[in-house]
Amino acid sequence: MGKSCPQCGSYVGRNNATSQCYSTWLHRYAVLLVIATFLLVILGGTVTSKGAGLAVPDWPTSYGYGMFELPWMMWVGNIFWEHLHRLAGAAVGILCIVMAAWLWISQQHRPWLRWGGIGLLGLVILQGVMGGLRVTELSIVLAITHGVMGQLFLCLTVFIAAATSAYWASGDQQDIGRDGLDRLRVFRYLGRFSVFFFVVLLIQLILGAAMRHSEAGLAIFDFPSAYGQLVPPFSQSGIAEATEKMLDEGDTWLAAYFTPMQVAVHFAHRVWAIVVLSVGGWFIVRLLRDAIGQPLLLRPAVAIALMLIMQAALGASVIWSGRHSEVATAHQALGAAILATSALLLVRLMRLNLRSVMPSNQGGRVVDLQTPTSSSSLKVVGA
Amino acid sequence: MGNVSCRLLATTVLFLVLGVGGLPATAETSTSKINIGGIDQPGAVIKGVIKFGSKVVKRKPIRMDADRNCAAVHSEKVLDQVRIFGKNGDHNVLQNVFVWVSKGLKSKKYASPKAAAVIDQTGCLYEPHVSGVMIGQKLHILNSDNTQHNVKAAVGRKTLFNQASGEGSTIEQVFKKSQDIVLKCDVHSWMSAHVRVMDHPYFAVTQDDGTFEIRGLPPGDYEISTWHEYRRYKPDQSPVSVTIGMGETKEVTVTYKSKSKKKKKKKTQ
Repeated sequence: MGKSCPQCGSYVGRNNATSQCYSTWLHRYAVLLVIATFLLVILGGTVTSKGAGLAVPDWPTSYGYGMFELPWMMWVGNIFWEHLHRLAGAAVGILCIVMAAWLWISQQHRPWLRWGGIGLLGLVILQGVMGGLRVTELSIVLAITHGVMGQLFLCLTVFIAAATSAYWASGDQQDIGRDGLDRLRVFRYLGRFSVFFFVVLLIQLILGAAMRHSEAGLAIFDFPSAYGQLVPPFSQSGIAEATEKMLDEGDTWLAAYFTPMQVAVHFAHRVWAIVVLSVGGWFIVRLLRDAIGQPLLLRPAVAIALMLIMQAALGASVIWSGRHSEVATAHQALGAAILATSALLLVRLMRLNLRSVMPSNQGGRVVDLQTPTSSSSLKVVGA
Repeated sequence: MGNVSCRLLATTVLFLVLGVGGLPATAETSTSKINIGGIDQPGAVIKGVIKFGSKVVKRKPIRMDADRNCAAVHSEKVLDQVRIFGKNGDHNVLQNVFVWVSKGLKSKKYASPKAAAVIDQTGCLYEPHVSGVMIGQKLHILNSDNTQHNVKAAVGRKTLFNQASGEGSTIEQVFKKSQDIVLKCDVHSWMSAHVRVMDHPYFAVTQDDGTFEIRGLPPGDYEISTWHEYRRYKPDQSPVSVTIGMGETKEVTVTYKSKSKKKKKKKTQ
């Protein structure tokens, strides 16, 4: 057990030499919130994959019952998944209330984190309302927004978990290695690139959500080709003609031809996947090369590399399996995991960049990397 | 539920009395006689059969294990509801083909029937699977199952309504314009039905022997169109031109064939 923090009174973790407060239990609770939110995102993905989003037509009630009062015997078919998603959302909401209160009480010295907790609570409420309105208003736009916001909410929980970690508390103690200022510049570049990579992933998330909620998951039903070609047809007649060439007698699943918009969204998701893999590949290679000795950067980088490969394979499997619901959900869940891990990497890089320490053989002083671009203009602070 | 049964019985008796009892349940041809110049004249009849002229592929069974209440109702495998052929294994005729007069009618506002069209959710399937209603006519969607359903109605990608449908309940809807509506139950993902909203009463759906009958037509030149849910089944002629006189009966035969694939299948499904 660590010492009591002089600033907030909470227990200090193993890195009790840090100048900032670090509560072991607060961090553990934040990690629990990340896990709970991730499970909630998977449940949401399951609801969409199974077409269960409207299986319970009313909200905030469920078939006229209060959320916690729906009789077990009514949890049949897809009601099970939709109602479970609602209950899981409520559970995460309760976790968020506790988290917001805990941060507000314990983090007086970090007002931005206190307001981060309030933001978390506001976002979970907004997300719940949006999910409900998606049901009552029968809105696809709201459904897409709900899907995207869910994963951004997951990223926020990751940020709070990172901000309450021992690593964060010891951020101003980071020794970035032997090469001094040159390496600081590299990390600054990687920090900017991590933001770029996150935005690239976010665009792919929006495209994926739009594709799923507009029932375009199989709008191009062959892979790696698209209607037997490199580029699919984008006119209604072209789609109809190509579909007739492709489909077999037993293919009853396609009740109507896909629309040009569905094909376009699906194709954009595929093309952007190439962008994601390219940008992600470049980012990971740079990290593996430049972040030696930084396990807190290398671990998520390796994880992202492995997940990107798996994600590409899962994306193809969604098509080859005829959009099997479990495969589609795994694709969505892994996408969320990649986004959340990239958010963690982003936060860690930013933290490293904002408050880093030169190696002891170069003075051991804290440097501010926010303004300079050349070594001559680096401003040394906190000497 | 009792009230619904009474209404159904009364509707059937009314149809028999009016001499249209032989019509498919969804065809709301209100009378076999028409009024021309203030005098009742016998209406013409177009009847026929929809044949099927291709090799029949094996229909896939529906897995109902997501809800044991559904699975318990059926002692035998339930096959996909998209392609249903004739009764007693007759694969030469096709059920659930929607047939309607697509051209030749005078543009006027036809009165909608007072009797409601009925679709029942029974055995976790929609019965009938394909039907038609007139603009302004009530559509009752019943739930005879011992389980919960929801009824989601969509035109294309646009959802019109999504309502809970508990045991023994009835959903009533009235549509104001011609459209092709797909009903779906999101609780039981295999459940779907097609409802065509028509602006006239001259339509029918083929029965389990592939036949249909449209009664009460005034004399004239018409075009008869047909539609089947399964996209690859194409009619040998559509529309079919028919010239019919006062009180005449004309027979129409349309053969559906499965459109052959031109290219070797590449995808896996």
